[in-house]
Amino acid sequence: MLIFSMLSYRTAKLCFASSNVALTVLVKPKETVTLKNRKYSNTLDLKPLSTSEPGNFSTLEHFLTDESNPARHTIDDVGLMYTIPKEDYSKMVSSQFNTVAFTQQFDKQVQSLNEASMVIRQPGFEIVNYLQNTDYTAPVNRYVIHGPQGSGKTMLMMYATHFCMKENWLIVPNYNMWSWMDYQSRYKPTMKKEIMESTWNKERVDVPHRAVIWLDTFKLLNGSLLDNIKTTQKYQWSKHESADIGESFSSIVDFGKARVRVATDVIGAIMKEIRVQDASTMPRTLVTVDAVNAAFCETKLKIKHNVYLKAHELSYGHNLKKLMTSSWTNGAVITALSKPFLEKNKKGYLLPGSHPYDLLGQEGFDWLDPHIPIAVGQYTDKEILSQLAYYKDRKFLTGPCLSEAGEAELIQLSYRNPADLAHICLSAS
Amino acid sequence: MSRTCFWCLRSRGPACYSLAFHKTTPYIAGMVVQPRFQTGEQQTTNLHTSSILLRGLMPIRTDNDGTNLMKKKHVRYSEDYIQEKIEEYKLGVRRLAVMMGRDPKTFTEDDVKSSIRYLFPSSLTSVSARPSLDHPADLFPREIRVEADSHGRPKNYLFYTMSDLFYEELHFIYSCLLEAQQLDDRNYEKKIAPETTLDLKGSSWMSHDEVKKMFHNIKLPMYNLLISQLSRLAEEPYAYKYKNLIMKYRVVFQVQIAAKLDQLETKVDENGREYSEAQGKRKTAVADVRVYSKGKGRITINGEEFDEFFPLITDRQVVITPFNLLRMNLFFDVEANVRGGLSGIWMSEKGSSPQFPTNPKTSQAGAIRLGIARALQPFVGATNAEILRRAGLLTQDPRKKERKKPGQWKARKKFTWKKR
Repeated sequence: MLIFSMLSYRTAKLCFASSNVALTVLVKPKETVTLKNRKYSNTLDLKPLSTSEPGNFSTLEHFLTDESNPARHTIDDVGLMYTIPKEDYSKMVSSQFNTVAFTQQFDKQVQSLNEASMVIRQPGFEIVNYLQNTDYTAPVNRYVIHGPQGSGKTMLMMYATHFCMKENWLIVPNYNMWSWMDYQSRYKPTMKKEIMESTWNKERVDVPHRAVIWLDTFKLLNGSLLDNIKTTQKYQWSKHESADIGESFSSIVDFGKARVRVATDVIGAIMKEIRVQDASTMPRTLVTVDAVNAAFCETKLKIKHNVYLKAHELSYGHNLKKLMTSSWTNGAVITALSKPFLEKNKKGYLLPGSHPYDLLGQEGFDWLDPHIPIAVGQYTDKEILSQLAYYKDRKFLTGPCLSEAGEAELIQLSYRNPADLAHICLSAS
Repeated sequence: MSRTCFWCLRSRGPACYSLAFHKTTPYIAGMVVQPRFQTGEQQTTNLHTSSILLRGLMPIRTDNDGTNLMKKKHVRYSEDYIQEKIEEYKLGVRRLAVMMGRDPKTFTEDDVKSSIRYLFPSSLTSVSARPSLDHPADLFPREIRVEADSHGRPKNYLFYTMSDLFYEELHFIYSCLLEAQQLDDRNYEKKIAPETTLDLKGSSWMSHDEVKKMFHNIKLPMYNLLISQLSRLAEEPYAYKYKNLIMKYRVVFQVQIAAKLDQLETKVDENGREYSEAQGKRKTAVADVRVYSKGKGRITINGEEFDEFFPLITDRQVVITPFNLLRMNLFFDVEANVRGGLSGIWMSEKGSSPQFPTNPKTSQAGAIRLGIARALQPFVGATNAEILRRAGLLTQDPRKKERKKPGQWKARKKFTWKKR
């Protein structure tokens, strides 16, 4: 069955979805809010936009919905903004390492406004619809979110995780694979990460303190769900330390956080249990992977001169790649591509394009094939107007921005790109 | 005449009020006082010779203006005399026209000058010494009579300021200011707003020279006083009631359009869309730009979208300045092909981000901007093209990379200077 979003791919290669998805016919939402059309019959009758009359968004009143549960969003809510409640937001974002889930820009905005609100977009509505209507006895679906840079792929993933949190799924977040593969920390440039040989398998390599962060976020997100899940296998971490059958996830996670050497192996154990167990013992799991294309690339971690590790030589990478296959049931895998983290390799060459073929490469595409592609584009008229009305409501935009000419200039400068719009509106100038 | 007066530094100065010195000078009977200013109406009473008050008042005229005839003091030309000269002048002009073989009715002043230059060629350097045929009004001084009583007292109370019209004007402006303030206070209590505002756009204050023509020989501090008083009046909310007074001293601009439209043609696409083409350059970047008339603000460069090609927002601002100036942001579509510029692959190990990419494209942005400004002209009209020209968007930036010189590291950087 063809899905209409697949027509966004340039080539004619068809990616067939697995047959467990029952499609609902999605109708495009009616655009009731549009930019005013300028009438010009002769070419020389062009009138410049006024600087005194208010623009479209300064008179817009209805740009926020009250519903904070994505499951209850309707097609009329697409284009409006909604707020993520503070309890859910604090779970998604860990206190010590704030800027992990969302982008740095969004986190700054949330800190200054004390609330997290984002636009409800049509691909998000689509994903939630798919997740509500899949057959979870069949193998897992893989979703790949692609689109130009700054168009809201990570935000879409967070929208899906928010939906799953409300439905009490087990969420396995892998924010930013690339941070495992950088030698210098992105947020603390003076700290160099340690690498060590894996205790599980000597051919692979660990990044221990990064694994502790992973376990921290895992625990924060899921909380009490981890008490009820038990292991089905015995894991020998080292000579004297082991985990018996029937130990709960929460105890393993605490153990991993205390014993830093063993943390990556704990992650591997968790991932294996997810794959092995059935729906009777294991709740539904959502695996989110941001920057998937990093999992099929070379890292910046050196062992010898000019010898760089590859992603599958990391034990974390190895386990993650296994998770991303469709060999298990009762869950979903949502992945997002990202260009800036692969803007250049260590030698400084720029990669062209933002198409999945370019970013994933042959190996990555074959690994994720077949998948459901979800295209994210720039803002539509309705979305950009509600976003600008929100900024005006929060006093980020004042003065000549609110006129017709200012509105048109903002829209053209940012070119309807969400990240650039935020950068322009929230910067000091 | 070796003695000089302390005040006027001349032997017998005209602009001097020191009666002590000039008392000894003889007072000629029947003298007519010719003050500096010009009154509209002329009264015909003569002054009494025995009036002591007016003894110190001599015809005051500086040396800078007027012909030599006008500079003669104590010279009086009666009206009949001047009328005779005028008729002689007219006769002379007619005779000149006949001499040159032209119709005297269509003989203008310029023709007079050119014909005299032809008949009496002179190689004298100073223009005022050459032969000329001028109207007597330019040569003879205009007799102005003071408005005075039969006893000789001047009627105008500001006569002794020596520029009574000017001070009269200043007093009038101040009275208008007080009226405006009173109006404002009254209506503020009643909560009535003024109907309109005074718009001083498109005009500027008269210069010193122009005000001198209105009031004879006003010096710079007085001129500044006048302008400051007028601008204080113009700040009032009810200044629109005194618009005539203020505009009397204002010069209105006239928009002179100097821009010639480079692009006059608009072509039609295969699909029927109207567009115009232009080229733009900056450093080594060359851009071929097409602007489509009815569009939504879409910009594509080398097949890529605007935000992908220019991740840096300053580059985007550069490209969009023509639209921003004219405030027509989402009216046109743009298609461009750019080549050149330092857009090669840069090798660097420092991290790059979308905000600071390692491949700079600012020269390409400048080239596209020139192309857009040139291509917009036929759609936008002559006055808007003038706006673009004055903003400097239609001129190519001529700066290029300066060459490296021998004996130096780079274009300007020198090797370390060693004293020995």
